Amino acid sequence: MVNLVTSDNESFTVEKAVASRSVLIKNMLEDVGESDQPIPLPNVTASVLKKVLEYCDHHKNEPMPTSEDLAAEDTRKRTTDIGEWDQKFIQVDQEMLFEIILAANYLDIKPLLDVGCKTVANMIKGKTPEEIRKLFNIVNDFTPEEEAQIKKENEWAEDR
Amino acid sequence: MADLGSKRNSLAPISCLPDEVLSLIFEAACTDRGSCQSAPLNVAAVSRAWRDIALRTPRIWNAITISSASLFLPRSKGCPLDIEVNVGCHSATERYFALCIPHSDRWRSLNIRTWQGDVLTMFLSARMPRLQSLVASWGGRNARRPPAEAESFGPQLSIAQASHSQLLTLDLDSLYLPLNSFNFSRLVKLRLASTHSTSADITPTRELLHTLNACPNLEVLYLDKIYLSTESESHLHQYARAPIHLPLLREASFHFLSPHTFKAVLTSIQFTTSVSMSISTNTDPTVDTDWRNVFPVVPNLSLIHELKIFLSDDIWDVTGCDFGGKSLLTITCVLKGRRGTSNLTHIVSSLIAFVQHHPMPHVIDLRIAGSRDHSSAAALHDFHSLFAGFPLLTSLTIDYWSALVDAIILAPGEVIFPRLRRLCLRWNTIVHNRLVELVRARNRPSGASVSDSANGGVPLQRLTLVECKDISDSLASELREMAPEIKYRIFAPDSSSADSDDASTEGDFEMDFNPL
Repeated sequence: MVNLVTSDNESFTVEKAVASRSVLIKNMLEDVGESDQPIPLPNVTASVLKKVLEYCDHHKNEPMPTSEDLAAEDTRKRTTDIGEWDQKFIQVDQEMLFEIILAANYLDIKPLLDVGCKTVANMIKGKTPEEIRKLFNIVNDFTPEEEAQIKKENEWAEDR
Repeated sequence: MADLGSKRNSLAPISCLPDEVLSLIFEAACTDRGSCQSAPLNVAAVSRAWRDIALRTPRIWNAITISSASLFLPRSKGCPLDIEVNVGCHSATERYFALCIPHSDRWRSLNIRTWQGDVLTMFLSARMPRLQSLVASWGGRNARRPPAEAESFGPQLSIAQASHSQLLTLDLDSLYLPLNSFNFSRLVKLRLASTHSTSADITPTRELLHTLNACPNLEVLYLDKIYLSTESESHLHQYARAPIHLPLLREASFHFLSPHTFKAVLTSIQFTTSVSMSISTNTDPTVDTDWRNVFPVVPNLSLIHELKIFLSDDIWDVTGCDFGGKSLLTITCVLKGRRGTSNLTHIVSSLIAFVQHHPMPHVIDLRIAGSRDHSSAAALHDFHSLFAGFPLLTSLTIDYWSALVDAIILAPGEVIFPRLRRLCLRWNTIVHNRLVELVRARNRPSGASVSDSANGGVPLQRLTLVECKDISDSLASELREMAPEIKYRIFAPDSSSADSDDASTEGDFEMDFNPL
């Protein structure tokens, strides 16, 4: 078992197979060897780690992506398909979604990072810039000159 | 004002994500977009920060079309490119080609649709060492069948394509290219459709067999209307029938192939038990058609546990699944040049002959459907011979087709479906008395042992009736009195629950309600 301590000082004891879905934790365990020392995760809160561990537990028996898999992804076309369980898992509010993505990035859990990115991507797909701004509470900060340039560029690319 | 906006944006929740993560999100948002060019343009027009990240993410600018090429190509830096050519104006195409050709060493996919031979030659002659997918079709406005010039692609391609060791997908539609020009060592998907024109001195089926033999990693094979009228049966003997091993093949589709091509492919490939095969044929079978000759090999018939049969005036269709519900086989037989009710007997005879010639002895769950009721169309003995092919059947669903229900009413001494336990009739015009007769014939009257039915088979355990309009309200009580051991579910024609899962699910006996 592995003991993980979050930024808000909550402790989680989980199976090694679950914790090792995180490449960061897996490497730490390999470096430290057998130890009862808790592993501090200063960038992850308890509520987020709970969700992350739920994901890791569900996928604990799946093969880890190899470096060959990752290299192949660079050359092949990607898709935004998300598995059924993952889709339900990631149905959270925006704030939690971004927190999960940040945690997956920090903990180096590539499949979870993929699920999070694809979810945000699917929210963006098919939307105009204005609709995207509204979705993520972003304002248009282009100068009139920049905006004119973008408009010209886009019209040229789309219409010809 | 712009700076104030930028500061406000830095406080937006999504701004907590680092640039490299936003890059990944943009990449995902710009995939699968087909011909739509707007996705990368849209994310780059949201805010200054997003634009900055978008312009530093070359992979979102890699879908190149004639309209986007000059803007996207520089932004795509060195990443793999997906080139789309849908020829409209010839001069514009030449300019487009001039923009793309310096980058041909990073073309990942080429999707070209044209009716101009010189355009096809121009793009296909490019050196594309990293090409993974080639989708080429002859078509578009004013398209005619590929003319003789299609044959002239050969020599140029044989030089240009020789190095395509990266090729994973090859999809040719209405276009013949010499397959021996390609390196197929990594090919995963091969689709050839509507290919008619070939050089007179080529026997394309032999070339196809050689090609398949060179595809050890092939997973998907799709052949549709190819090589019709280009070879005669006499060529068949020329093909070496060395077995072709495609251990990874999981989908094989053969639609409307010429008989000799079809036979050659079927008899040469060593199909595995994991392949899902789909066959369409418009051969015109007679009552005497020997299906062992039409389909010399149909793999995995003995693995089929669930079978769906659909019959209509000019088509029969069978779909077989294994024990886990995985589709193993779909065969669609279209009777060409025949239509109308008078043809139905012909359809039924043809199907029965097929089942007799290609037995599926382990089917336990059978569903037979029609597009409407054909109660008077086929002789009973035909169905008896059809049913004899499924001796292990335990579940039977009949949609429409009251003549089929008549056929399972056992006469003394008959044994049809001796293991049948579950029967479901939907939208059937069976009348009250016939149904009582059926239950009486399959289950002994109340008081007799339920383990010993009238004809030596097991008694029915479940009977489901869905929207059978000629059944009276008193039927349920009459049946329960006569055979109380049967679990009945009866849904009247106006019953809204008949469309629910409740009506279609009988424990582990599941059916969907949509006609095949």
